[in-house]
Amino acid sequence: MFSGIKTLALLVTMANSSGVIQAATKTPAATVISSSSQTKSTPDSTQKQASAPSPTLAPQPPPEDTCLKLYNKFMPNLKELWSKRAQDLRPENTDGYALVEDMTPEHCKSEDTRREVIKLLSTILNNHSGKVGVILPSGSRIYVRHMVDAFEAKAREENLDPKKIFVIIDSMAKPEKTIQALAAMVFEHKVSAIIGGTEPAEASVLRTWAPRLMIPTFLMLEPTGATPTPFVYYSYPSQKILAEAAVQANLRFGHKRISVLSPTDQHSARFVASYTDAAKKSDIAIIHQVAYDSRRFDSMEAAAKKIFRLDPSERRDDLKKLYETAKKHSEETGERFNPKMIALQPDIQQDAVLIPDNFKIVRHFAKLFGFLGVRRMPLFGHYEWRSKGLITPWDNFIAGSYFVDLQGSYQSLPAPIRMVVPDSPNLLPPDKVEQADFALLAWRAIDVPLALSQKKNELRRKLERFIPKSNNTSMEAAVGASAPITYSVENNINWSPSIFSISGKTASSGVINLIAP
Amino acid sequence: METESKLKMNVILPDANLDGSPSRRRTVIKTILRITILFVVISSIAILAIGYKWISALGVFQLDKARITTLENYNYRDNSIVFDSEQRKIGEFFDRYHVFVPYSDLPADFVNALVSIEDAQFFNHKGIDTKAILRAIIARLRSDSFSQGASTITQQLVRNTIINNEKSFERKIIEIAWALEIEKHLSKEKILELYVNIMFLGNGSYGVGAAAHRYFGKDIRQISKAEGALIAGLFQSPSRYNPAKYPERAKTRQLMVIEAMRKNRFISDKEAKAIASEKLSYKEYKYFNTQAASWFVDYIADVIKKLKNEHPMLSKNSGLRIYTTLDQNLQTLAERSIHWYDANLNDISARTGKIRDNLTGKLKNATIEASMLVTDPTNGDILAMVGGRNYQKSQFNRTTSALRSPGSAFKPIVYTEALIQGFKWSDMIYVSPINIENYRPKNMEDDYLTETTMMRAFYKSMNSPTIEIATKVGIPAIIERAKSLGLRSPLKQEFGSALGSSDVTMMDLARMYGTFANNGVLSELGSITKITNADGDLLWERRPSDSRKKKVLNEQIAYLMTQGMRAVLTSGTGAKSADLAKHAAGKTGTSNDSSDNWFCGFTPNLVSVVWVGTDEHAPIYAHASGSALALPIWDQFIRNSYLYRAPKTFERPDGIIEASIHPRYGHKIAGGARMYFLQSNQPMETSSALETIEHTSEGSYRNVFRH
Repeated sequence: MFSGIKTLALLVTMANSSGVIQAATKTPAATVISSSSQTKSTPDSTQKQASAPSPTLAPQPPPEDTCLKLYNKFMPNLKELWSKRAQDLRPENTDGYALVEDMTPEHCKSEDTRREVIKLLSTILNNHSGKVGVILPSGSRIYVRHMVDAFEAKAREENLDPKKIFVIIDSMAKPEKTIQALAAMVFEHKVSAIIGGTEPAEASVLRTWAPRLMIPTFLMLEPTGATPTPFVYYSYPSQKILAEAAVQANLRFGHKRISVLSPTDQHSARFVASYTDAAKKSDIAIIHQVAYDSRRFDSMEAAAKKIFRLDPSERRDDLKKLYETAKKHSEETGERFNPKMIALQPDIQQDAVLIPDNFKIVRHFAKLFGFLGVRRMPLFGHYEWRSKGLITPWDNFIAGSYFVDLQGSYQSLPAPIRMVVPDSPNLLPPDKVEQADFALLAWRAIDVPLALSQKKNELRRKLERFIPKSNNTSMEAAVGASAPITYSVENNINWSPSIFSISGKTASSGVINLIAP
Repeated sequence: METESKLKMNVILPDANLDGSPSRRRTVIKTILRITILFVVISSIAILAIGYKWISALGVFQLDKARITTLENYNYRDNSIVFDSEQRKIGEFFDRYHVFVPYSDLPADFVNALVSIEDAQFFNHKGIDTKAILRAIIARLRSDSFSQGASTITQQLVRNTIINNEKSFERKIIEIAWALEIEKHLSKEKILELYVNIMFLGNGSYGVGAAAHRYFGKDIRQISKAEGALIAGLFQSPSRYNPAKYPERAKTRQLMVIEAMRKNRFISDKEAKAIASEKLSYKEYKYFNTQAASWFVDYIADVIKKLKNEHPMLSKNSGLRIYTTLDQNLQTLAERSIHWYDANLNDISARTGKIRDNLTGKLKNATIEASMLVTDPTNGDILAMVGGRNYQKSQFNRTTSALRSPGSAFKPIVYTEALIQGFKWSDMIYVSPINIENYRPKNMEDDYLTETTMMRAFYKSMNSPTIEIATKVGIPAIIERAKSLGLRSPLKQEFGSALGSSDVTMMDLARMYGTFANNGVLSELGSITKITNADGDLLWERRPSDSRKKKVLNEQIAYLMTQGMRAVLTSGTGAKSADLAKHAAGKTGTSNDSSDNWFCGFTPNLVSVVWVGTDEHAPIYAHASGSALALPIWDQFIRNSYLYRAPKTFERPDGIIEASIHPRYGHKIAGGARMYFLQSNQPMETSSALETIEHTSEGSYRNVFRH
């Protein structure tokens, strides 16, 4: 489209005549690029430079080798992104970024073209429009709707116009579409930050491209544990912090010997792994770890029998004693001897049992434990327990059990995303739970990107320096939905889980209580 | 008789020795004559005095006239007859088999035959036949024994009613005296009526009416001359001439009767020949009560026995006319429905537990039995009763006397109590095994790790949810509810009772299911509507309908339960008969080891309880259940009962709403199961977290960590 030197020259002329080059050369961007490439400034000094750019910078272009370094570092990325843009990306909206396509290292040889190279890079990497790019999959994903609603609510809360602040592009959860969306965000909309990546495919693309484009990117996915970069942030809570909270809860209740029942379907594998790690650090003993298939009752029964040592082959002597006692009783009293009535009593060695599965499975395990003769056993688990189904119909066996969740009381949700709480501040109707979850996640995740977008005078590639950090990852560090948002040194959002306990409300009903933080 | 003859001979002897010379001899003779006369007179006076005193001592002059009155108003023994609801005879009761026949109903030919052979001068003498007596005396003198009877019918009647049959001279004098006396007070017809109705005539029959039935299977009015002659011949010695045992002797005796009739000109020679040549066709006596509704008739006998305690006039042989509620159409249908399934039941018999044969001591398969009780829930009438598969083989009435475990057929009581206590059909239950005080009931198909609404648990007859409900509502409340719904058998205060471990009768279950069918009104079961005597005088009548009914259940709750039991047919253990659910409802029941297999079903106007099992409580293998064994019989019965009782739909009372509910999770959902609720206690939830789990591939509830 814009191939050849003649075209490039033409665009430069056009840019000059429209004052673009002048503006670009006067912007701190050119200076920052040169300073970053020529001096090793500290972040603070860089920030000072960025916040107080000198309007009298020399228009001299950098030397050729510097140009080449910059070119080699950024231009191939930009060229690749440009090449993967959507075909309907309108050239008139790219402000001459199409020149990327025609740039070659040769442009660093001539002073004039070298200036153009620097200016182009500077414009792309430093300028930003004060908008937030939202790259999410749409389709039938209702959670996306909930997230976008929360983004908009948060914007309104900050007195921003959602229609002006957000650029939303559908990734369709496909890598190629995500790249196209990213190209549009960079070349066309010049967004200040990007939020998205709720699906692994799109998150992978965004995670890869954020450092290459030096654009702050906030991923809506559980942290992967990859090496942090200054431009990739995880705005999603992790199961690790929930598992650590579960350990905190164990300590709180004095439960130091734990049996772990883990579902074979792997959906809680990360939680279990994190829990066992955290437990070890806190001197909590995992005395059993037994897997079960939650689709098969016999598998669950076998797992339960395992942790309570109810397998007759393991306790032949106990069984023999029971048999003899029953027979003796029968002979003494004349009652009919019924071997079917002989059952091993559970050998309880644990203080509590972890069941990181949904409330339904928990309820079935509770009944199964009762059936096996376990009179009382605290159970604990995670966010999948949080349902009215956990306490309805009420089973006294689960009184004293507890679980951890990323949500606190629904009543303490920020007003714009608060749900109606008909029965309990800690429970919602099932069709509202997903909305509440994603609304809160989105509400908290958009907080920093919105703040960055308002720093219009700052270089975009330096915006990451305004992201609040905190090394305090204790549960009290980010209490509640309205707590200030900070990120850890690993660039993971600091999220304070909540601990809930279950108790009997009346003889026939129970209640879920928020006990921490 | 012998003594009497000798006396008469002595009186006659002096006349036989008169002889002597003219003068002296005359004097002597005169003297002797005077002396003799004096002696004779004195002797006669003495003899007469002694005789008078002797006869007087026998009581001949002080006959108790009250006995005559008793005979005049003789209370004939008569069988009691049992009628069905259409006044058709279905049974009879007796200690002795009597069929009373008034004189006017006696065929003239029979009377002629009887009189000819027993007392040809009956209509002419005054109680005794002097000629016959003389003939008898002469015969006695000649043979030194009585070869010829001299007793008239009247005398025989005296022997069989007033005095005993002891043979002595004194008794004979008294007999004659009574015969003469009776003839003064009773007509010949009355005497004959008494005679023919009282006398034992063999084969268990008393009186000619009974004999006609027992030997020829006919009413006495219908017998032929030849048959009448045979019966007339029985009076002399019914055992000796019993045609059932000795047909040749009986025939010989009949010929004697015919000859007597001919001699007495009651029939011509030609007629006598014709009658004699007529071939007699004896009919084997069959106990009438086994012909129709055998167990029901037995049951009526038991009821009468109990009633007699309060109403002594209700004795079996007092000619009671017992009007019952039995519907013969339904009775026949009930019997046929069981027999229709015979082949299957026989097949199952090979798969029962082994029992020891009392005779051989060897192990054998227990015999499968089946029984059915049918009642009208609106008034408690027992309409049909089949106590077993074969009355000839076993008269044990399983509908009234067998105490059996109802299994899940008891469950409606548990769910009724739950609904009363505020539960509703949509309430969700986690289905897992349960252990209550070491009681660990199992679900039929080990159907665990699932969830269910209370209604689905009911119509699929799940055990563990039922026990869970029972723990919440309380066993004492369930037992009390069972009593109020009509269960009279003692129930154990244990959780097993909630699953039907306490034995009950079919009558118990009929009352209970009838209460649901009758909108919560318990109707006491009844089998007898009224009892009269043979003349139609009312002796006993059951209480009016209203006083036999009691409202024991809120009609809304009854309706909810009825709908629950309709769901048993549409979607549950009775689904094989789903098409019947439009007008019917019911519940299966299967006890441990399938020893008892039930289906208790009802329409608004009919309750039918079916049981299949063995008398020895033997286990039945091969997937036996109420659904497999009892339901088909019930289905066959109820389907055909519509011919006689037009089907009706269950009417919904006020205060009930209908909703479409998720059958497992209990929230409102389009296209769910139809459930019914009290308006004041209806489900509000429109979603369920369980459904969310069901719809996620990993079974995850919260979607937040899906990746």
